[in-house]
Amino acid sequence: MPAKYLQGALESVRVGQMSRREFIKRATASGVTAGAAYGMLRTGSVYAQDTPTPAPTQTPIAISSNESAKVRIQYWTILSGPDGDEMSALVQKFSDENPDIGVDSLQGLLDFVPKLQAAGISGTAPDVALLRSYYIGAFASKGVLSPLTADELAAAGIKQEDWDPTVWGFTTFEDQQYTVPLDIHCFAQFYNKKLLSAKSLEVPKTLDDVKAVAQATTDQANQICGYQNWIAPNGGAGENFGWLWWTFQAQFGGQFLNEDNSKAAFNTPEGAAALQAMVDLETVGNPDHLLYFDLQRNGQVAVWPDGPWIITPMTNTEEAPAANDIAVSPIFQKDPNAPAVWAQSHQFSLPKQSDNDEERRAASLKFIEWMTAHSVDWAKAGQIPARNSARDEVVANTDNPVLQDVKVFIPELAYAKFWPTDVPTMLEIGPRIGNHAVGAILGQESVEDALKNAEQEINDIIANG
Amino acid sequence: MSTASQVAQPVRYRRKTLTWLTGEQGILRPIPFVAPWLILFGYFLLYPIGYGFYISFYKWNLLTPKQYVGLMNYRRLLDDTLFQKSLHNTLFFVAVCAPLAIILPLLLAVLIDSPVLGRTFFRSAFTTPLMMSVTTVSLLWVWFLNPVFGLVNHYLDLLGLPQQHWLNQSPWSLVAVALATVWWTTGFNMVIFLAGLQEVPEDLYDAAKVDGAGVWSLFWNITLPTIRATLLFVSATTIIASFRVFGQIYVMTGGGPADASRTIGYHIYITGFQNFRMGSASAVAWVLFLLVAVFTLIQFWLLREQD
Repeated sequence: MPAKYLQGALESVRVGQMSRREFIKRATASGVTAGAAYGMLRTGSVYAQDTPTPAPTQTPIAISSNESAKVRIQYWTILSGPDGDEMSALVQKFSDENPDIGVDSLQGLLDFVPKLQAAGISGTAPDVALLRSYYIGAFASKGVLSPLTADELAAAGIKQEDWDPTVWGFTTFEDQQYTVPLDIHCFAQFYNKKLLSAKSLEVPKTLDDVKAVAQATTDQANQICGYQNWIAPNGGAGENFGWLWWTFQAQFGGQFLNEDNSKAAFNTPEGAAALQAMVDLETVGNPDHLLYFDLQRNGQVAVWPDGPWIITPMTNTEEAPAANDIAVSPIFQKDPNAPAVWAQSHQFSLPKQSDNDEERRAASLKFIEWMTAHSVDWAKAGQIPARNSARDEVVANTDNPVLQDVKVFIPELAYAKFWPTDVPTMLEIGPRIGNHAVGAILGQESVEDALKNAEQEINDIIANG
Repeated sequence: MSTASQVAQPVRYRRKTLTWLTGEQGILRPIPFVAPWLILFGYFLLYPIGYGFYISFYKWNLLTPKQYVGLMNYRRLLDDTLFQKSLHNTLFFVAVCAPLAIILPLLLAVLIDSPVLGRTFFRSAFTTPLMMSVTTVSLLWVWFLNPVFGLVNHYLDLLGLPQQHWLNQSPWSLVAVALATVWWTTGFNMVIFLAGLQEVPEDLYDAAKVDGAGVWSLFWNITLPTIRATLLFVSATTIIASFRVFGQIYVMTGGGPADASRTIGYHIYITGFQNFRMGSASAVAWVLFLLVAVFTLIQFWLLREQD
């Protein structure tokens, strides 16, 4: 378990979400607790809340509940860090309320995509896998996922009208439903109150406002950034940077792919203007291309875009010394009258099983229904519940500090822009535009070349299927 | 009688065949001795290599049926800008990393081979990094190179030199990976060179010194030619390893920023195991194999016996 934990920690360091000191602290403690964890695993049942392992492994990466239950389901997710902690706690809560179903849960799998695909090939796929919405095309087209029928969803108590209508539209591949959404996440604008008030600046609402803030607050000598683009250090940008690019692209009225998803459609005047806006903001706010995350949590960045998952570390003074100065507001818009923001969703899918066990499939659907119904707890990891009732609970909450920030994201759902789920090569396409956008922002290629090269690569990928 | 001789003839013939196959000098004779290794080698290396070549003529994602595409996977490489960028990055990495990872250990080995104070300490110190795994080394260097609070920039600052955003700018990200690799592998190559240096006869140095040879002349005319075989081994293995670089890239840069450190090894991994284009990945792997083979042959030719 510590080894798996270390893998997760390592990934956090790689994408810049954990400091060196924190990593060393956790790695050391993980090593010290290795013996205890080994003993614990040998006893068979390892529970989230009664684990004898002290921090740093606040929640185990792998939990195995209700050992004596007749029906056991396997559950995999891509989640790690605080997300994985909250998810494991929720799985345990489900297990406590449903003693007849045992769950073998694996959180924070590194290389989730190849592992799930390899499991599909070898006939060892988990019963339930939590995917990002735009993964549907990649997995469904290869037959890794099994479609969900309206009857079985109804039998499990999963009704479309209980869900946010936009996200429910992104659960299909070739008109067949494959997933049930758990949450929605989109970008918002994080800002440092102290840096803004020192210059008597208002919280930005438009792109022009952000540029003005960046001009007023950037201080190269003291490593103060007025604005930072969401570029994860050490190459983590690839796939994920496309998310921020899509926010700008959509705000400028640009498209990603053409109508029938057969070609790139972003190399247009709108596309060039959108990418140029990202480059301009970087030039003004972060001319030295200083790395993301560390400066923000230390109070050296005025404004930056990020997702709700970052609320947990950014509101905790142990992880973010500047936590008390950090606040969140809806993301800046190019035109407040035509707002747009990237969004995606974690969704439950049922990978194909070699034995087609009906009992396990029914248990899996029951698990999915329960998890979505109780997703207000999941929202505490910094996610917006996709199910209306759970989202209402978030809105009604007045005491949980993370949920207060999650509330800021909810109005953005009205103009959320998702990536398509119908494109089998979406997992290849995303990193191409992401990498070239980063290339333009870091000055490795011009805006024109970045768009032209990304267009050519994406068209090649789609053409080759 | 005639019947007996007719029966005997095939027997004599069979004996002769058996001797040829399984006798003292028979070609099958060594097989049982190497069989355990041969089976594993065949199953885990020869078969996958051959199978890789076979699927390089197919389009295949492991899940849906293979589709024969002939030389398409190879032909596409000519227009594949990402492959070409990976190739360019790999050659740049080899050009930066390999000479350093060969020359530096050679110089260190020569220094440590001489009676200097603390040579045992230095010998251990230089070989310590090779005991670490690639992940450990890479993570260590990610922190050394951190632009805000990393050691490397700290010392550059003390020396009044401009600080670099090592892993976040091109081409420094590849240079940074090369630095980490040299730091990691120097000890191993140094040990090999040290072993080679033990083979240099002392009387050659004595004779040359009598003839008035200086330090440089001794190194160039005696040390280097005598350890030619060691040099060939070290340079061949180091260049091959540099072409294949993967672990450091995976941990330190993820091929970034913006593909600036995407090498052929990393490209194969992404193509094969992220995008599941097994045919394309195999074709690239074979191109890499040919490239490495050519470079290795060139080295053999350059360092061949001159006499």
